Order: sequence, then C-alpha cells, then structure tokens
Amino acid sequence: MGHAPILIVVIPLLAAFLTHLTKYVKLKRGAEIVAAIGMVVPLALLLSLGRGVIAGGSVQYNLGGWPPPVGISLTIDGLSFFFALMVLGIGLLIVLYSLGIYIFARRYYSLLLIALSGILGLVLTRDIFNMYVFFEVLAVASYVLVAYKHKPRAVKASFKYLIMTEAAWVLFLLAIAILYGLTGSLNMDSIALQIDKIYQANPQVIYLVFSLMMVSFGIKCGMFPLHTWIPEVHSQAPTPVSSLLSGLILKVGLYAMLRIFFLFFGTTLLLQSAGQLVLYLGVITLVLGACLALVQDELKKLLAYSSISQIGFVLVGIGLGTELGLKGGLFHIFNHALIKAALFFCAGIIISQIGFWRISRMKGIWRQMPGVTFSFCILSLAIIGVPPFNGFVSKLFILQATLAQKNYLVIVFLFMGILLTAAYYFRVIQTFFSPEEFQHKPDFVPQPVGPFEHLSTYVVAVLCLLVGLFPDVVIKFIQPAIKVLLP
Amino acid sequence: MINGINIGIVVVLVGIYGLLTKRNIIKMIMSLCIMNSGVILFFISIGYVFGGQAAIFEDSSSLMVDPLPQAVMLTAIVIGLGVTALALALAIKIYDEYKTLDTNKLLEK
Repeated sequence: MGHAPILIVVIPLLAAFLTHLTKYVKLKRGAEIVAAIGMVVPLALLLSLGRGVIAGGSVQYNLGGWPPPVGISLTIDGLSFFFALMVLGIGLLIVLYSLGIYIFARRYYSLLLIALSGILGLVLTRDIFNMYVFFEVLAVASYVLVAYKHKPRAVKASFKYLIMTEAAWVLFLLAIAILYGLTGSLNMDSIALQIDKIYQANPQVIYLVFSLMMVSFGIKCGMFPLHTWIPEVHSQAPTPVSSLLSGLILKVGLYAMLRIFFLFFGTTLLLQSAGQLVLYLGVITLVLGACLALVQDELKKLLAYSSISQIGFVLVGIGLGTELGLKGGLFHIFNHALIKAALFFCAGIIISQIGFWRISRMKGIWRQMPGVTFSFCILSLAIIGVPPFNGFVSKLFILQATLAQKNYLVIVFLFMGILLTAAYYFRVIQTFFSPEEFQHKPDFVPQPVGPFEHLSTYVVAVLCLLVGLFPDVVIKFIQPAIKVLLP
Repeated sequence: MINGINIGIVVVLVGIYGLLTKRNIIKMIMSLCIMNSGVILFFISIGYVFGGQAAIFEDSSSLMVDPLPQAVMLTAIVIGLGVTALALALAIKIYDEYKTLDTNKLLEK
C-alpha cells in the first residue's frame, strides 16, 4: 500500500461525489452507506500505517513522484496521525447521529465528506500553499453546511462566518507570500531550515509573518478578541454541523498553530515572547468564555461559549511549550472534540423534542427523557474535569505543567476557569432536575428521535469514562505527536 | 517605489479598511475581493523578474520569470471566485428574508 497517504485524502472526496449518484441505485440509505464507507476505508488505511508511526517513524508520499522541495509531499507523522484519527472517529460519530434524521439527505453527506477530506488533507500535507487550498475546501463546505436548513438566522450566521474566515485566509496567504519571497520555497521543511538565518538578519519580517499567522489561526480557533463568530454560528447551525464545527473545525486552527509555530518559530520566537503571548491570550479566552457562558440562556449558545473557554485551556497548554503542557493540550483537544460533539447531540435531541431553545424553559425535563439528560450530566461532568472522567486527566496535566513553570497567576485563572465551568454546567443540570413539572409548548409536535441519536450520546458517555480510567491508551498516541513538536 | 509589491500591500490595506468600516453586505464582499486581489498582485510581483518572459523553454539564454507564483495564484483566483459566488448567493438569500443589506439593521432583527 505505497499510495495510502493520498488515498486517505482522496477516498472521502470520491465518496462525496458518489453520494449524489446513489439517487440512481435502488438502495435504501445509499448515501449513508457510501458516507460510512468513505470514512471507514481511510480509517483502515490510516491504522495500517499506525504501527510505524506510533514507534516514532513517519510515512512520506511525494505526489507525482516529485521529491519535496519541488513537488508536494504528504507526510504522516505522530501529530498528523493523531489528528487524522480524531477527525475520522468524530466523523463516523456524526454520521451515526445523522442516520435517523431524514432531512439530512445526499447533499448533506456529500458536503460533510468534502469537509472531512479538507481537514484530512491539511493535516497530512507538508506544502504550505496546499494547506491553504485544503483550508478553503473545508471552509466552503462548512459555510454551506451551516446554512443547510435555509433558516434566515442560520444564513446570517453563515455570512458572518464567511467574512471572518475569508479575511483570516487572505492574511494567511499574505504570510505565505512573504515566506515564499524570503525563502523561495513552499515546502514547510525547507522553509523551516532557512528561517533561523532570516531571523538573525531581519527579525521584523519574522514578527510580521508570525502576527499574520497568529491572527488567521486565532480567528479559526476562536482565540480571544477574534472569537465573535463562534456563538452565533454554533447555535444556528443544524445539530450535527454544530458538532462538526466545535469538535473538528475549531481544532483545525489549533493544529495549524501547533504544526507551523513549532516547526518555524520553535527555536526562536516561541521560546521568547510569542509563547507568553499565546499563553496569556489563552488565559483571557478561557476566563472570558466561561464568564459569558454563565449568563447565556440559550442551551446551544452556552455550549458554544463553553467551547471558547475550553480552547483557552488548550492554548495555555500550547503556550507553555513544555512537554507536559503539550501533552495536556493535545489530550484536551481530543477530550473536547469527543465531549463537545456529544453535548451538541444531547442539546439537539432535547430541543427537537420540546421545541424550546431556552434553558429556563427546560425545568424538569428529566422525567420526559431520562436517557439524554443522564448522558448530558455525564458529559458535562467530564468536561468540567471531575474524576474519573477524561477531562480530569487533561486538565490535571495542564495544571501540573503550569505548576512546574511556577506561574502562579495563571494557576489562579485556570482554577477560576474550572470553577466557572462547573458553575454554568451545574446551572443547566439543576434546571434539568428541577422538581417543577415540565410545561409543554402548546401545539408543538415533537420530531421523532430514533435510536441512533441516543446511541451516539451513550457511546461517547461510555468512552469518556473508559478514557478517564485508562488514559494511557490515548497518551500512547500523543507521545509521538509531542516527539514531532519538540525534537 | 511604484512596483507590484508595494501596490499589492496598499490594495490589501484598502481591502482591510473596507472590511472594517463598511456596513453594507455587498461592500463587504467587494472588500474581500479587493484584499484577495492585493495578495495575488503581491505574490505574482515577488516572482517577477524585470524584463523576463514566461517560463517556456525555447532557448535557455533568455531571462525568465518565476513560474511558481503564477501557477499558485491561478489556484487562489479560482478559490476567490468560488468564495465570492457563495458569498453573493448568501447575500441574495439574506435580502430575500430581511429586505435589507445593512448589517446594523440585520443585527436588530
């Protein structure tokens, strides 16, 4: 299987177009089957390369047989492997949730597969312009997904998302242009080789490149002053798309930050002021996100602000730049992707059953749907960081890493963030288990919710417990990623 | 100092100014296009050699421009076209629903 890396990117893309052709086949649920195959086959290919990558190796594939400085190369190393595995896992979970909902037809699965193919491509590629192209593939697919149901507010949110994200990518393209002018190459490894020399001669231009990239990735991952698109888009998008946005698309910005900052500026800028900048912006993001989540009355908006807050925790881990900090950061990326995807599933089920968006109208709904409220409780405990769930382990790593740096101010804010997280989730849980009788919305016909939606939330709730009890299984995948970042 | 690189940067800044100040959806899309064009001009000017020709090998003696930025920017132009088309489609949808293109008025609704 010498062609495995490119097949991982191309098979979901091929499946995206095949889903439209299922119209002509007399097959029930043809689009769903094609979508599932389009994710399971790359997953199998990825796992077949897994043994070598976990041992610390990497698999390189040159497109068209042209070696790296000239041609585009795809590389699967520890970091790409970890992210690609996460993308395909969450992708399958989203398909599982969407199975029971009939408005999600061929077009939806096609766009979902294009988006996933974009993420896989940008995770595997080592060519910086190719990364930009995959960013745009992902972005265009996700704008349409957000406005999928043609709800007016969703279209408005999608437009806001488009303007902010496109501005981010134009700035990223400008940074690529400057780097190409300086180094004469678009390959990440050969740029990284020359960047130290340029930094010695002319540090200002490296500052410029760094700040352009910081803004563009900051918009994508929802870092503090650039987070404004997140709440509206996450709350207006259809439920599985909210999970895709929060679980995977926010993580794309973090991946780009990890990959490019550590490769290009790892030995120069990150050791000095830039690491501190990421760290303190992360602190502001986590406290501000948590404070804003505390005052929200819309369930999906609360979850969106919670996403911003959790991204803050990851940024603190990245900003510390130590091995333990990165371990915590990467682990929290995984945990947040898993938990927040499932929390959005729970919110989607609850809202489609009762027709209310506001938390204050959800008093006592545990009598109506005990299963979903129970898994919502488990998942929110996991994201707060209550042992023995998985959020506890990753937050513990980040706290330990901060303690090792003796940065007590940041520790105070981290604890504040954790307590605020507990406060806003307990408020929701308290409303759910309120002794008052649930007031039905008059003349509301609940949409039918099938077994698949419930199943997807239960699966994640069980996974949270298992990962919390046996964190070593995930850490085994994180270790090679850290080896890539800190050689 | 009038060359492609400087003008490219100025055009990008004009686009950013428009994006930050304009409150009309069509003007925001236009600003986005202007930003994109500025970056394209900047990138192509980097690879330009004064007096050079297109990199087609007939005789190796003549001066040639760097063909990579041109190839790369062709991709960026196509992406920009697709994004602009999508943005305009969303703008039509927004106008159909709200009968306005002013973002200040849209925020109230």
